[in-house]
Amino acid sequence: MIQRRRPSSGLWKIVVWDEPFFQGKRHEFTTDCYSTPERGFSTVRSFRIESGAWVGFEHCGFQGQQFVLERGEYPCWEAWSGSNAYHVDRMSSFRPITCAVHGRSQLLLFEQENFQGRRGELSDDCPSLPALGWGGSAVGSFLVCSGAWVCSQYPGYRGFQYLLESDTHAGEYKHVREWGSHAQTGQVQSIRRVQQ
Amino acid sequence: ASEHQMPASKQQPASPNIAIFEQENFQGRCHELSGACPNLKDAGVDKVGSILVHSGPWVGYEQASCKGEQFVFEKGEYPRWDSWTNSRRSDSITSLRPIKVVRAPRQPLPTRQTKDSQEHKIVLYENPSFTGKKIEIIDDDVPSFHAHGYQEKVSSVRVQSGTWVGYQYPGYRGYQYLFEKGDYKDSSEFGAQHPQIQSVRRIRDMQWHQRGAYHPSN
Repeated sequence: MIQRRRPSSGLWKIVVWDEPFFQGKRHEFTTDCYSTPERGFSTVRSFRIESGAWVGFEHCGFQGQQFVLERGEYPCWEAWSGSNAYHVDRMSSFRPITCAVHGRSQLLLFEQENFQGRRGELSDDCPSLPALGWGGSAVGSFLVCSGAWVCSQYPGYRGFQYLLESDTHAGEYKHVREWGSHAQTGQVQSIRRVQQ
Repeated sequence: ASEHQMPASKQQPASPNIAIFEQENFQGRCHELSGACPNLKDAGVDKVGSILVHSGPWVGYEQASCKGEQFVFEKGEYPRWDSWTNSRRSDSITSLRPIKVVRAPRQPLPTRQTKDSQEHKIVLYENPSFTGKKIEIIDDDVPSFHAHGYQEKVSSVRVQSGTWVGYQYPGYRGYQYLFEKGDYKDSSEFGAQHPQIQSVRRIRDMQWHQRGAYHPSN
């Protein structure tokens, strides 16, 4: 429970710069950006999320490594990909995460693909699935009942990130291939809710 | 789907245990620790290449005697140095110690909630010595301070209960700072060179947490 009131804000806004530390060319976006080069930015090297939650991608067309981006300042690449599997010093496409409901999120995870095998249910953040007693370090499939979640390869929300949304293909992530273009293994050791 | 049961052996709180491998991917010489080690080199560890946390949580430090950059380790597999650092500034771990976690009571808390019954409470302040604007967090993880209207720096911190880890950037990225119960009057007291924290989360003993998130089911 948070003791502060959230400022009322229904929409999404990101301000991007083509140089680190909020220098160089500046542009504001309030909706999807499929390709930053097409919008006059060969690279985005710093940004500020002013409202809503966003997901950024390594490549154009929402491809490659994913970065879940909540409100705040990201002055350099370490701020968005320093904890990822390999560092990515640019962001080439991004879009809002529209289904994030931090306080009312629910997720089912399954040991095997197609919702088979042992099953667990989460409604709170989990920095270590092994500490909860989930056997092994892999997950086979996810069913997002509500909200948006981000799962990570390593404990403590590090390594490859995979965004899981309740409003994307009905919240069904049946196979590791559906987690993202960068997903290679089902290794997942931490999962948390996305803050709207 | 079969019901997921936690093994009976896990019903007892496990004592801390961590395996340190001198090479990546759990190769090379292995050293096991069950308590604090102020200097891994004195313990015969030449290099930390990968880590398996059998029972945690732990905190590792870049320098001996628990100094320098901090790395929080929860139960799980860490095959390379870049699986525990967010800053990628240093691949060195020279000291390690278990983090004390207050175990949640096994029975549900009384419905009468008092301030003393909070398991996790932290207050972060803009200026040193607990002054300026503040953000107060109770029993939750906060990946974005900005989302809660707090955009200021963090120069002092008061932990009233629980154990926390703060991060330089949103979404638990950047430098990590461990906060245990007590007062941190200035950013140097929590090991920060820049007084910037944009996200914070609880350290919990998940197996024992009464409001733990995991509900095995069919």
